[in-house]
Amino acid sequence: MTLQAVTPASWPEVQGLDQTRQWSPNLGGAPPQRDGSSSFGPAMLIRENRTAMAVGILENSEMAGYPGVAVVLIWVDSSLARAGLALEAFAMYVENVFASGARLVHLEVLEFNRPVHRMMARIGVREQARMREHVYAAGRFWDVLVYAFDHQQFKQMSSRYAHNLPGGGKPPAALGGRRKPPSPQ
Amino acid sequence: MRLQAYSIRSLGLDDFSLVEPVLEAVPRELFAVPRIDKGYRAFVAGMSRMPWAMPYVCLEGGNAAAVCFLNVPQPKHLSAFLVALLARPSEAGLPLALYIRHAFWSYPLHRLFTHVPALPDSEPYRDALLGVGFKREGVLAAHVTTEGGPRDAMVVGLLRDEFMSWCATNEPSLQLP
Repeated sequence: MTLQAVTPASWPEVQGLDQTRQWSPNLGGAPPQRDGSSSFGPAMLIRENRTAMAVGILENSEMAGYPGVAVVLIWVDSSLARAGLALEAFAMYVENVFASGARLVHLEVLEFNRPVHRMMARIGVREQARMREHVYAAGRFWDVLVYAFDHQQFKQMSSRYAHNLPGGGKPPAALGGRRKPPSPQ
Repeated sequence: MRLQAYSIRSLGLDDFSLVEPVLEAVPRELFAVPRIDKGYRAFVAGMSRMPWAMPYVCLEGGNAAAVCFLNVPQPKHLSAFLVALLARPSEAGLPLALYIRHAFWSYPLHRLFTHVPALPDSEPYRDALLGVGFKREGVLAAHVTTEGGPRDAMVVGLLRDEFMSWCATNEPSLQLP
């Protein structure tokens, strides 16, 4: 798996993912706008090395009113991605968000998005708040669960799972990698 | 809209001198309010362009008791972040309820929510919000930066139905038709 910074050249792939994402209620649909820029490092495509396909996206923004707090969004097309890919991509991306100056990483996850709740439980992050009926998706209002952690907590969590991540016990050497995006057909 | 000694109206560009005592009373760590006329005008002009922002001043007699507005990042969720700046938080229940009633009356909002930093100065704010029916929804650990280090922020939320129940019990004149 490779994380590749979103650039104008990759917008067609981003738009393709958004087409799928808007029918997935997991994030309440696709974001209303995107220009590829984020507060703590760029948005990144998650690319499967085996197929060279973009199968998901990671992005961040600074939480309004909270300097240094990065709100991270992850979306993976589960019909295209292999099991475990989301956790690997998330770990690599979060490391980069902290390296880009974030003090805290903050996630807001819809109550029925069980894969992400399982992922949070696996890495030992507990919900801090439950915003009741906060998001309208798939025909009704849903609670949103909030998770957050700092770099120290993240390092402790990731050290427990480092052997599962790219590079084994080593930190990610590069984001974006050496793989070139597929040529236009 | 009036309730006992309180009334509310839209915030105007020329209201700086009216609301200045409220802005001065707000702890700086609670909300960064522009405290000069020029900054205030830009702030209100910006607010007026935002959907459903509803910048209002709550008046007690001729004096400002509160300045309130909403932030609605995505209207489709019908969930609005409430910013309430209170001159005397311990006495702000009625003006706050008046504004909240007007928000639910004006827009099809399903929910209001806000954050209260865990600071000594903000305890009366928390109590004012809980006093008009807001419920605790959790704590954002270490999200707030202060000179004394990171602090938590409490998340509180209020659903439309909960506010209607609060009105029925506490202030029937605010019930929606």
